Amino acid sequence: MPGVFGAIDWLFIFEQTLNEAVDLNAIVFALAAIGLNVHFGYAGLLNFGQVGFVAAGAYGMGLAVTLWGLNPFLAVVVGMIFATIFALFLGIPTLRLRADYLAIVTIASAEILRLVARSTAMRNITRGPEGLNEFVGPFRELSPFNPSVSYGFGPFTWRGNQFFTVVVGWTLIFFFVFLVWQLMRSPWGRVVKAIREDEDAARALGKSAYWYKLQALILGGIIGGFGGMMLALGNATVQPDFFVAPLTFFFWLVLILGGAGRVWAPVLGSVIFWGLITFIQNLGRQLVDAGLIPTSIMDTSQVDQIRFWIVGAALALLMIFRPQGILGSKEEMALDAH
Amino acid sequence: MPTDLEHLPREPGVPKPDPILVVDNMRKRFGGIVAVDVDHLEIQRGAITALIGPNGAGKTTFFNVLTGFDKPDEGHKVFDGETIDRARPHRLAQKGMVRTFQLTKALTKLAVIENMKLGAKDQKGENFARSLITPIWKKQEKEIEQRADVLLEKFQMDQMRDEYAGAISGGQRKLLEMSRSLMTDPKLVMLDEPMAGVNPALKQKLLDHVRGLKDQGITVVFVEHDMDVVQGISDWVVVMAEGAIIAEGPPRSIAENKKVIDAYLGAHHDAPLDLDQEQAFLAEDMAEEQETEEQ
Repeated sequence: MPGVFGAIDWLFIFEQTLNEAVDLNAIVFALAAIGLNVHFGYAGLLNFGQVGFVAAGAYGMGLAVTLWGLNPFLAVVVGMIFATIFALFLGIPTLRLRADYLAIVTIASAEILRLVARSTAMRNITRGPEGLNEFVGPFRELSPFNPSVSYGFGPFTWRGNQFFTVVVGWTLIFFFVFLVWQLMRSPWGRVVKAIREDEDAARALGKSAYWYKLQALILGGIIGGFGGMMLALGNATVQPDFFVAPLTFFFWLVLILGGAGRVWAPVLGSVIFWGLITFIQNLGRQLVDAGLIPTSIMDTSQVDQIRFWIVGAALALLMIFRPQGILGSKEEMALDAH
Repeated sequence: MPTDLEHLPREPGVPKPDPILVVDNMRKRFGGIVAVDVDHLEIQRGAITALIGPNGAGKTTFFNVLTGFDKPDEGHKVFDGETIDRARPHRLAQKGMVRTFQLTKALTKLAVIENMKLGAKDQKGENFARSLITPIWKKQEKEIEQRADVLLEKFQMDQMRDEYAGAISGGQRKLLEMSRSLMTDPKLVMLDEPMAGVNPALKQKLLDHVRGLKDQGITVVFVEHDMDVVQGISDWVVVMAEGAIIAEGPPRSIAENKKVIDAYLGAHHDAPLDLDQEQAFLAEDMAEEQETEEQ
């Protein structure tokens, strides 16, 4: 069928794909997954409530401005404190118990956090379902970029405020990737990885498994919290209903796609995930618009659902043919099979 | 000194000249079953003490209670002059009481050398803040690595230092676990069935290493149910059955002790076996051996 695809604007699709692959969503997912990588990839903690840490960071930062009128830097500190409190709240009762208890508690607590934030009883503080909307001003004052000017090149072009978010976001990503790399090559990382492999062995060698797991939970939680802060900054709003439980599983998807236990895995996973989603969505829409896919099979609104099918199928194939993820080591994976 | 032990009364709970570990009135119940029921036990410093007993005697539970991995229902323990009733396992390890496990716990996705380095105590880089600045811990890390390499060489494991611990054989993992425990500079090493599932050649090597520990002044307690192994290596033998200590003494005296023989073989052991019974025993032994090897 030569020429049939001529109706499709490939340049537009690729531009959109590349842009989304590094834009706000990819940044938020990458940060959340970096945190999850510390939890699961290195410390072996089953955290099924990472979205709760993202929410804690976002609300912490937002409330610090709307409620207490703090300056942006202190607001970020408050965001970190909120994530830390959430980690202590989850970790102190469960980390002495078997691994599955943390999994149960995290998935429930993240939902509790969202439901409390959106409840009418909290209206005076969190503004209930409306969320927080008037906190971004002081942050944008810090931006050196002119809001009405476009920055970047080629497909990577943003208005000033968005560009500010992207620059801050990627700076944070590089910082946390470096931090995780440094930690995991240090004796601290060795203890954490030993606990992942066998907690009792680490304890028998004089390491407090409980204390190190708690530290890892807090660290990964704070990094996830920065994901939430970036989300709040980029969207200029904190909406409780963004932080739904399924989001946690997208963070897991991103991490496993990249390969858990590898420093760059969450970032690569996030970039690929958002690139793929955007590519399929745009291509699907154009195929429908151009009549190459008859509306009797699918219309444009259904493309949005189909893209998740395709990503799901791709992930299933990855698990079959490359279970260790893109960056993972096959050799290490094989060691699990005893 | 082991020679001193020869003259001690051969009865359960006998006081030792220089005990490193003293246990009093230790009880541990699982539901209705009393797994550990020890009135008094002293472990002689610098000696090799074997803890033996038939399957289900409570040896491993007793081990777990001593090392803090299980909480006793009641009882007191004193290690090196210090009461350690409530100490958690990692604290005990820091104080110099280190243990190994019946099912070896190699850290499979860490290299052999990393397994070794983990054992070292007081590592500066294990503190979160200090781990961020490499120069703070780099020098100590090198020293630890050198010490680990010396130990690996001694245990003839140096050629596999960079392999994943999950990729070495079961017997080598036993060696790794023992040498790794030495990285903690222990005063007392507690080995839970170090010879289980190990081939005869390696068994001899392991025994030599256990003797080597004693030569370095380290106290050794080990769980074993093979009487021959115990005879050859231990200075003192403690026999458990049904949670209690039923006999203590030098190895030779134990082999002749009627209570011990009864506990091991049942009261009617001296009646000759017929062919069927003998085959049944052999089959049981083989099944057991296979089981431990699979682990």
